[in-house]
Amino acid sequence: MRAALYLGCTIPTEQYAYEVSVREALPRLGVELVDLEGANCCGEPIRGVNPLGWVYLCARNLALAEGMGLDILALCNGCHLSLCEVKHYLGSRPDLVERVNELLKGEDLEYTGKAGVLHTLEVLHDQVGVDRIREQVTRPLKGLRLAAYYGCHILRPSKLGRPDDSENPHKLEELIEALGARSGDYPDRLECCGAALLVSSNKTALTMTGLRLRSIQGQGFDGVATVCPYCHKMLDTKQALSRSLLKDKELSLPVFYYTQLLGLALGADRERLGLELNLSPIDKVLSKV
Amino acid sequence: MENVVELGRVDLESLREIKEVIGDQRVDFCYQCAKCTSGCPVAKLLDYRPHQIMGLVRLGAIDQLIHSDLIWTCSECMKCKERCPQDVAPTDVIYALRSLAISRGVKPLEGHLKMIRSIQSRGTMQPVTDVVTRAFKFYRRAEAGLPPVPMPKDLERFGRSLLRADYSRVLGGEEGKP
Amino acid sequence: MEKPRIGVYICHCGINIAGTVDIKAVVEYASGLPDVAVARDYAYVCSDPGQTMIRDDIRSMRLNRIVVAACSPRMHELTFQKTLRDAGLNPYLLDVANLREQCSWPHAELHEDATEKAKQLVSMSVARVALLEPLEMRTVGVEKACLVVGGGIAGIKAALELANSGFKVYLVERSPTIGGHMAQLDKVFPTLDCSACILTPMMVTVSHHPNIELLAYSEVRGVEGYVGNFRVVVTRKPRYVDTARCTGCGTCAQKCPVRVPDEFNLGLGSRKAIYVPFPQAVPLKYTIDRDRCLYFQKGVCRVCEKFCTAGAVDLDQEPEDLELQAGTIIVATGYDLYDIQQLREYGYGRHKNIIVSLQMERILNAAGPTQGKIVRPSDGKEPRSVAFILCAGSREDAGLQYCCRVGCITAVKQACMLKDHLKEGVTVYICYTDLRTFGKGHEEMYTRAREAGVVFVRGRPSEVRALPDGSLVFDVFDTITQQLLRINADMVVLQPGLVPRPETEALKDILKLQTSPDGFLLEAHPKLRPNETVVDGVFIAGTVQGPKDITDTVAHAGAAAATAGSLMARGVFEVSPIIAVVDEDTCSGCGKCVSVCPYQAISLDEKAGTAQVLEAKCKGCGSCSSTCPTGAIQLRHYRDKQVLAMIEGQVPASPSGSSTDLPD
Repeated sequence: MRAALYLGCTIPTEQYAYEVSVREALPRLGVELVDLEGANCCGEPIRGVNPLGWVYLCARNLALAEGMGLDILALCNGCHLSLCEVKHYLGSRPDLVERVNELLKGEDLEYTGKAGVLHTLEVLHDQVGVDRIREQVTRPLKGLRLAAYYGCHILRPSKLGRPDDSENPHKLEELIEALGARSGDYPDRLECCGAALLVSSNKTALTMTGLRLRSIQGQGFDGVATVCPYCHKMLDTKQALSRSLLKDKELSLPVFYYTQLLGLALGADRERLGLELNLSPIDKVLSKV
Repeated sequence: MENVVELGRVDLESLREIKEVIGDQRVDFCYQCAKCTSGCPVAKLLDYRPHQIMGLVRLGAIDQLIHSDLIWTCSECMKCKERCPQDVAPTDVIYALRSLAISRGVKPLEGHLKMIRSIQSRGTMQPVTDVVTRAFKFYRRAEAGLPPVPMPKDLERFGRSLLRADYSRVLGGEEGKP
Repeated sequence: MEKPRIGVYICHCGINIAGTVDIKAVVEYASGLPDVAVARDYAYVCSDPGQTMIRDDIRSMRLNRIVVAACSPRMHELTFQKTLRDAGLNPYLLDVANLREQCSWPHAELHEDATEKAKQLVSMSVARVALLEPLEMRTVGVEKACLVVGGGIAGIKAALELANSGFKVYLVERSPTIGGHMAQLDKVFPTLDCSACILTPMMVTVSHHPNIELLAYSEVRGVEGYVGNFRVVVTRKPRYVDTARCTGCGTCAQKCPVRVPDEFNLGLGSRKAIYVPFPQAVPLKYTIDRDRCLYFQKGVCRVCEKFCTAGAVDLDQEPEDLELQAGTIIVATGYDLYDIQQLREYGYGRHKNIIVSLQMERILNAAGPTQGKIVRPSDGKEPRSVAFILCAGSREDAGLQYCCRVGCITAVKQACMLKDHLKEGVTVYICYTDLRTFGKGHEEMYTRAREAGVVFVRGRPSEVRALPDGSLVFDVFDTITQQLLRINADMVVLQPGLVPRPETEALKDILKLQTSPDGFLLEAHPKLRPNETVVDGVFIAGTVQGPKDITDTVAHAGAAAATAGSLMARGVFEVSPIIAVVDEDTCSGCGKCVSVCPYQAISLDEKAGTAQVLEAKCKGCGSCSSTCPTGAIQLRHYRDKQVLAMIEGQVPASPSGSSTDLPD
């Protein structure tokens, strides 16, 4: 399959490991990635401040993909939700579509709602499939127990249709198991990482992150797999900050992007998965693989 | 002197504006079961009560809300929207309150303003940041063989359209002029 | 036909009509219409003096047609029909023009236009009434027997009332015993009577009553006929036990090697493949569950047959169909609990200690799976904290939109029982949204619960979590103390709402009943006719009509019995004459009318080759008449020519001729 790769903002400016590992791993599974040229921010972080701006920003990305004749593959949970929501609202508000197209005309773009929106999770689980992944694994992650951290926006609100079930998601666990590792339950499985509060309540955000990490660590997992750059930013990049904020010296958990683990298991070169960028103690896990 | 909320006429105008913002908000239907607050991750850490905010909106006590920090404390996890028995969609009410606050002249948080300006000038909500590896080495896109950061081809045209997409209202003043 | 002499009576209806319509102008206009002998107005024509005026005019002026231009015919058509009858005129020689709901009320500000419209409406009525024919009510006989479907408390109550009044009752119950859900309860509010103790005597009375034929383990398969004359086919399902020989000794069950979770204890207990649902079952006869029985599944065992000293096991038993005649039918098929597993955030089905209200009843019950000992299903230990979550899935768009009526008081009662049994040893929480303890004695029970130290939390949890060590925990915001509480519970009891039993759907189709949007069977009028349905002779009783507690169910069932009894006591049922009639000469036998009739009231007579109308079933909807290509089938009182005359009558009256000149 072919899709227009949409990175959003956090990934191309900061969370490179997700992009690197996706570009390395997905083509091996038959997913052809075409960069969404001229893409812009989806507007999710400022959607409350400027709803119309948010609609316009999302519609512009959808119009770009439409122009390429492809569906959008969004790697970020927040981008995915934004694009899906705007597509949904525009579907029942012809007045908004008119307004948006009037703005898009200035750049010779048009929105008609043809482009679909996908996320890494559903592409890997539903389109590629766990069976194919399992077949192509050359270095199974044997002996590892890895928690699946979904984040919020690919599970809720379920009425819109999300990549996995809001109360009993299972796809990421299945994808982890397809790599030869084990997964499992933990109390905070459906809870929020706190990323959205970085701007307004930094401390609260990091506290939420710390509580999530604690919940996972408390169940004896070797590590965590993420599918969203914001979640990863909190759990991995800011793990040290949350550890010091919670004054919890024991808080220490390896955090990977699922696609990094995927690359490892598929036998990709370790240098090509952005593993040097993870700030959490992933060497504990890498030494076992 | 007295610690009471003065009520007389409900602020219907603000209530109407809340309902008109793009979203699924249905604040009239809230029957104060507090299921939203019971599940809210922020409520467990701060004095933040989404059901109270719903109640205040229904009373029309909107002015005090839009000037408070509370409406910027939602972590947007969508649990309340998912579980609400009356499909009130508290998150969407909060978004509407934020939008209303900006319209009424409340200054956006510095962090949000930065994002807004960045989107306008670069297309992304933040510039390329300094990233270091675990081994404390700097990591740059180009060196890692990654293509340049995606951005609108014609930033000027993009910026102009953006201003007309209500950015002017948000930015105000000189910045808000096309 | 003699020349029409029409009396037109325009009502002011106080200011309801007169406030908008210029009555005098309409009266003047009406006087000039063809065949109108007199036109008058009056403040309230439906009043005594108003009716007297009409009656006097009929006699003194030899009027033979009446038009009353007033409020909706649904209000007073019957009233004025009686007026005509009292004056010696056939009541169907009346037309009521609606100058209120269809004129003055919707056009309240448009006085001129409303007056013109009023004139047109009167003109239409005058045109039609001239062509109306005298009609007579028909009567059909009513069999003095009632079929009661459903043997729960509602069906039992209705059956007993009717049987005591001297009517024959067939009580058909789907399961092997009567008793319904009430038999599962422990103590019922507000008196805390033992449920089985008050129910079983009624069950026994039913089984011994000379007027009641109890058909347990049976189902209604088909109903033909009409009010007063229903022909019902009931299938007696095979128990594989000869009920004439079975003594209910229970040896078979003792010996049976198959043990399965039992429905009566909602999975908390077990029964054998050959079983009675509970020890006080009526009739006390054993039944073999085919799906679990080793003989039926694998062809082996037959131990029950071997050990039965009465020789009652009959593995070759076949279903048996019975045909019954009944004059009335009462549907009392009851409720089920809403499938709370659908509210996934509360985890029902994922953890043994998350249970529903009825399961708590079974645990509390001394004859239940734990012999009345209050213990957790997971490990049999006494719970130190029990949390009730009310409104689980109720008052919710995604679940049930309505209030279940019984959740609050059931939880309060169960909380009192828990405190009675375990005293200080247990902390009981009730998490509610609105506490509805509305009935007689309910408030007292709420007081008792508070006195016993039950903790009332006003808030609704978002989810219930089962922690890895097996304990249950949930957060709930108490809006009263404004505190976010984290409740660690050994057991969580959910109060799901009530839904009609799935079997109701099939029965509804057989009887052509309607449901309200929530799925319960629809009553004829929510206030004034709670037991009647759209089908004459079919009544509803109990929770099949809507959620209610036992108090209201018994009252409702009693009312159903009274209404059904009243119909049977009269012995006759008047059938409206406004039905379809077939002109056999013009009928081509095409059968189109048969296929469009929603009440299956028309059939094709093979010999005559024409359509035949079954008068008692015809509801006078007119679908046949509008479909008929030849105009052979006509709706009496709304014949084509009568309706067409109204359309013509909309045009201001022509000075020439009388409307009886219109073609037939």
